[in-house]
Amino acid sequence: MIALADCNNFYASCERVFNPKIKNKPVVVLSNNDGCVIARSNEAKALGIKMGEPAFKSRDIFNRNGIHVFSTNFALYGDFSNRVMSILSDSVPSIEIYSIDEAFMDFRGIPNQEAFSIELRKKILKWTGIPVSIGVAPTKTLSKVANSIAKKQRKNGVCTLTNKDETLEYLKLFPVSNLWGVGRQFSRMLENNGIHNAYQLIQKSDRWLQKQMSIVGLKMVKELRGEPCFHMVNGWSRKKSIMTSRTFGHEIDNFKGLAQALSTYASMCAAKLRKEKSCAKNIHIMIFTNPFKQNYRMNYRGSKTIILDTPTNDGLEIVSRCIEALRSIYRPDCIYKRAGVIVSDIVPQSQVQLTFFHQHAHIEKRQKLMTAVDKLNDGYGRMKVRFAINGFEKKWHLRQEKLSPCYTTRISDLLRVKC
Amino acid sequence: MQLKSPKPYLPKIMAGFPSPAEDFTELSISLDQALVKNPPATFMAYAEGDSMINMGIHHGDIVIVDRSLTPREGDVIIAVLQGEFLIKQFSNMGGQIRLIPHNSKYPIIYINEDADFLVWGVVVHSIRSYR
Repeated sequence: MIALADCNNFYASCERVFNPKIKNKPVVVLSNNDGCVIARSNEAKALGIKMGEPAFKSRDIFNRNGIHVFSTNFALYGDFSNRVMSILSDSVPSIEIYSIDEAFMDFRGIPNQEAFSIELRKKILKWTGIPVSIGVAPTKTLSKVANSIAKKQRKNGVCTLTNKDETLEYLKLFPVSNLWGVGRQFSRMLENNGIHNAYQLIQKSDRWLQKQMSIVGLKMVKELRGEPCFHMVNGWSRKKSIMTSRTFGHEIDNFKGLAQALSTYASMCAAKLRKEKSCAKNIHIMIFTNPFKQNYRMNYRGSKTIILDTPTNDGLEIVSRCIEALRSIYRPDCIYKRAGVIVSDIVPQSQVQLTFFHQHAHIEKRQKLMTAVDKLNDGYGRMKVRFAINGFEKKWHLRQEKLSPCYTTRISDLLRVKC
Repeated sequence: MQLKSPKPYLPKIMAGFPSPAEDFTELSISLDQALVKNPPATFMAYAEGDSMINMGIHHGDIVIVDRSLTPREGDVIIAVLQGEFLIKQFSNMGGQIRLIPHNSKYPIIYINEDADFLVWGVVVHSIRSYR
């Protein structure tokens, strides 16, 4: 049996741990740069706030309904993610971290899985303050279904799908658009073919499924029928990282120069990932001043971690995320001596393709581009073909107006408690 | 706070005989390990105010809080009362929860059954800096 643990409204829940006043209040979290809504509490969902809604359009709705708005605080969410994942991995034989807020667990050999899950859920809530839902089923895809039932219909936050007939009843009520990996495109195609729920989908022939939804789609449907096709990947085996870091020949005192250096290291990391046929989920950037030179006023060391929604080895994406992060840690009053990029939380590329097949076409296109870049560079020398990182003159700043303190990662930001 | 244990300190040996001390290498003392028994459930906070001075918690001290613990009689806790965080001593004598300050300037807080109250975590250490 496989269990999927998924944190409920994760970002909003993290904000609430240190802010009990907003316990039953609507909460939204805005994307990097405060662009649009990327997380909502249940109360915000009930008010009709949609994912991806541009923040500037919603300002009135936020104000009118007393919605608490936060900028993304990835340092905080990353720390809570580590806590939850470490509790999970101490509780079961192996886990596969699937995203910042969800992990598959190997439940083989665990007796009374319903009661075990209820206890595990209670433990995580007590220890970290984060509510999770747990879905238990024979396959990964069914555990996703079970998790969704747990989240919506179960007070204790746990749903175990062991009984075959019961599972089929649930599949009849489960819309295809909510299935794992079925994006807008596929769900429209399925709707057009008169397939509205998961039960109707599993009645289709393998040939039809493979033709319409590719081999990955067929596997997903087989999993719905209870046949395991996507296997567990041990979450710890890929806990390695790739680093590129250099001391500059000449010290750099401007953003443009630093951005150029950093983006070079970033594309080198991406190329290494592609060579290994893997993708990374975390990117960490670092910049350093020269500590041995007394005449500089500032000795500064800046760093920032970016956690991606989808693991990638796309140089374009990694470079642009690094530059974005650099903007938030760059200090113009410093002279820089060294910089580096570390990519970590590495997963096999094949797995990313599998689980994100709704973006398959896009990923494939980018991969072709990257393969071409790699080939040219192999032939003509490293970094001969590179990205034109332009547009720095625009001088926009990362807007994070509603950023909560980094309660768990910065000592100056610790919670202050009256006594 | 680290979720992983520190690496042992191993001196670099260039060549020749192995160091006789190598077999006796121990981990350097780690404050993290000494003070944090359960990293995923441990948080830190600053104490602000003087209501706990007679128990040795002063303004500006850092308290280390373990959320996995269930408070026992006499523990110091971080409580949440009507959405506000508080550090007080916990008492539950005869089924009446009380939050006890340790400074005569402050009154004992009695928690009614219908109060908006929860125990956020148990304070296991406090740290004060002297310079």
